[in-house]
Amino acid sequence: MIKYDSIVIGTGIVGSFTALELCKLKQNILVIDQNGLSPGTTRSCDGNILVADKTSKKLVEITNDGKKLWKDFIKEFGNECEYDEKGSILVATQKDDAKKLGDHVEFQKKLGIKCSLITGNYNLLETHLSKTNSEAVAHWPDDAQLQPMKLCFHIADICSNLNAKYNLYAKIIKIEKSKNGIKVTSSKNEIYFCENLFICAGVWTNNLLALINKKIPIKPRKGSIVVLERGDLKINTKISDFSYNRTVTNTDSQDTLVAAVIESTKSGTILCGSSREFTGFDNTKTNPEVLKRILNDCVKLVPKLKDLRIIRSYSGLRSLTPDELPIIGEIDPNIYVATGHEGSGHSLATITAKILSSYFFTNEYSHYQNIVSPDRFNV
Amino acid sequence: MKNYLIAIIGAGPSGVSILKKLSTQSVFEIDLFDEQSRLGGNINRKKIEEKNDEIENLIANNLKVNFYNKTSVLSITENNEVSFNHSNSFKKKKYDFICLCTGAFDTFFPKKGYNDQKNITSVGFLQAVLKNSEIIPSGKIILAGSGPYLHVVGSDLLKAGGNVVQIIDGLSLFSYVKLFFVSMFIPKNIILGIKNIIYLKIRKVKIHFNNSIKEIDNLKVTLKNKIKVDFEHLGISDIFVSQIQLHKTCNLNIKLNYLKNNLVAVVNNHYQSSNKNIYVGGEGSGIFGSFHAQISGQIIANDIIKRTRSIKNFFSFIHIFYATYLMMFGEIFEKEMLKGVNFFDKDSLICGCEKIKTKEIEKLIDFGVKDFNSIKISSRCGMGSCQGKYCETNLVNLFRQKNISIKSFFNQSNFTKPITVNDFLNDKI
Repeated sequence: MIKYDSIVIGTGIVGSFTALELCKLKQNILVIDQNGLSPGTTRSCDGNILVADKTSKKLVEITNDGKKLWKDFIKEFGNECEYDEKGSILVATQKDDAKKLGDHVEFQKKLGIKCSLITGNYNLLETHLSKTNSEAVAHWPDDAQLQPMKLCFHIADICSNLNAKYNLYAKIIKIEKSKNGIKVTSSKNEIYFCENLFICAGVWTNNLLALINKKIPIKPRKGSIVVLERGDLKINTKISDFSYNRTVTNTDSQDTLVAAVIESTKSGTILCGSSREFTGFDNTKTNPEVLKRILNDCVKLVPKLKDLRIIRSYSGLRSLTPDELPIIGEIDPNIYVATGHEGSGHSLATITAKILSSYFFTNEYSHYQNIVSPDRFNV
Repeated sequence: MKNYLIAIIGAGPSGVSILKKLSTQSVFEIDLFDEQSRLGGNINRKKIEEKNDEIENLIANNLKVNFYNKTSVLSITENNEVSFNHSNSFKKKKYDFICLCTGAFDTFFPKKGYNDQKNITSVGFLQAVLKNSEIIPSGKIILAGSGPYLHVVGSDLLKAGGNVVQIIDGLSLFSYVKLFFVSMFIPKNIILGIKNIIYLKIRKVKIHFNNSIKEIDNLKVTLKNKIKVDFEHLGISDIFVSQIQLHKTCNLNIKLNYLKNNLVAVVNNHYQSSNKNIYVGGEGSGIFGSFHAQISGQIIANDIIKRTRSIKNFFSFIHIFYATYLMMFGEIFEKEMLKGVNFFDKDSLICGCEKIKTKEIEKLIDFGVKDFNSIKISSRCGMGSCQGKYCETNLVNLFRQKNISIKSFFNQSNFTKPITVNDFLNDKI
């Protein structure tokens, strides 16, 4: 009989940090994923740690706390994931949005977030930003970006050195209670026992919860990104259209929502996003019409983009909850879930792990338990 | 006697084979350009700084040959003027002949396109997969291309249990017979091709000789003679991929000129009349990629020599004869480059575009990663401009060497070739 203290299902960003937290608590753990390393949403995102796009008080606070933990992580384990506090800017492209952007800055300032409206020449900060289409520009200097896959591989490397076992390409087909703890059976017919089970399967969490007859209210919201070839053009910060915030919070609309988001990566390529659409669990293909809408909006903000070449496009699924807050906590005795991070998986991954560990040892993040607990819905 | 200025852009197998051939003639002054510091392009998987003595010596000792390494060619103008960036200064020079041997790095020779079509791979890749593992494409398989290689892969797939229904061959059956007699020696490849054609005929696989693909639409191909064929998996040999792309979108108005022997060699449309004199070589991916690229280089070099001596109306079969000869006895640059080197040495390059070394991939494999997409996204191997065209086959070979079965291959990108944002938005696909 193989018994672990804990089993973590999922090797995405949330699963990675959960595994790392458990390793730091000196637990003997197993990490399982049904595909390769981080095969889901983490693979298809752009790795942003943002406060700029948060519009509710709770979310701003929790993200801000999560960001402090990011700095601790980098300090402790080194910056292999190319974590870069390059800042982000929001651009209001319409007159009436300019005032709303001012309000948004004031709202975040009150909560202690470092941000400001740029009154002078914003081209000093962002050289290629269009002069004609920018009504107002606001700057968040602390927002950061990283390379998600390098991060997940780095954490997997750290955890392996702390004796965590990894089992990739193993799908969980059975979760049962037994007198030896929780019994988990994989599609390879491997049987493991554990004291605690952590389900960090993002948008696919309900497939696993079905094995214990539970269900949480999350649904997949697809996003697409176009990758432009590296060239001379460099975007210093992350540029987002202010309407991006509206597309995040508009959870009811069945239409495809698009808002321009432009950023450079460390390798020199430029990523253009973003879209939000409900298309079920199919993320294998990007829709050329959606890509065109994205690029049209991006070119309005940075006209020079139109001469660059597209080399790739990809899409991923965000897990959306009805109240836009993640679902983190105990769902069944000794079974924990962490999902529903929507577009904020990276911003919230560090604090998610802390909230989970607060179930075992009280820590300064225990007070978040109630806010994000699955109990707030009828599960 | 008039001297000719030649620009060879790209120091890979095709570029170097043109250099080798032309440098034997004193009338040519040759400038070889490459963005990297070394020779060999995509087939130099050795340590980046390692040298190839023979070619290095040729460049060092022949005063008429210049190697501009670490140099980017920026543009080629209408009147054959090449502008390039060497040692941080911009230069311009006019040439009599220009050879684009940039393979996948064809940044100033863009072939663009957004491809919605799934289930289309190269024949070379299919064969690499077949040799490596038990994975066979499911459903009706169609192969398109030309030459003996097509029928070899077809038979292999059939033997492994694949449902090969049709083969579309650009050559006529007669040309195989012609090739056989023209080449005087015993041409192994041709015999192999004919043997496999017979095997496929016995197994009732329909072979469309002297035909090619006109259009691919939603799991349906339309042939030149208007026949429509359904498929669930289409394997295309690389020349055909180029052909489809080129005809559709090339902004240099270049036409693919078949040299009737399964070799990639593309020449300028106006090549007989105008003074553009631009040749395109390389682009030979797949298992015999570098081999084909070198032969295309040889053909280009021969053509330049022929034209500068004003010999006209050469019989086309001389080309065939020469190519077959090369196939059997030609010097193989790759062998030279790889002499005494472990093919998958720790520091050798798996991915040329992103400079990913074998040891980086091995680290991932040791960790248990077995699907190519995880490898791609964790290491950047396959993310370069070649869209995984070269490194996918290298990965298959690495997995084969390590005896590990592959979970899945690269997801096909919707963008088969880079395209500018402007063209994409204006539907110039």
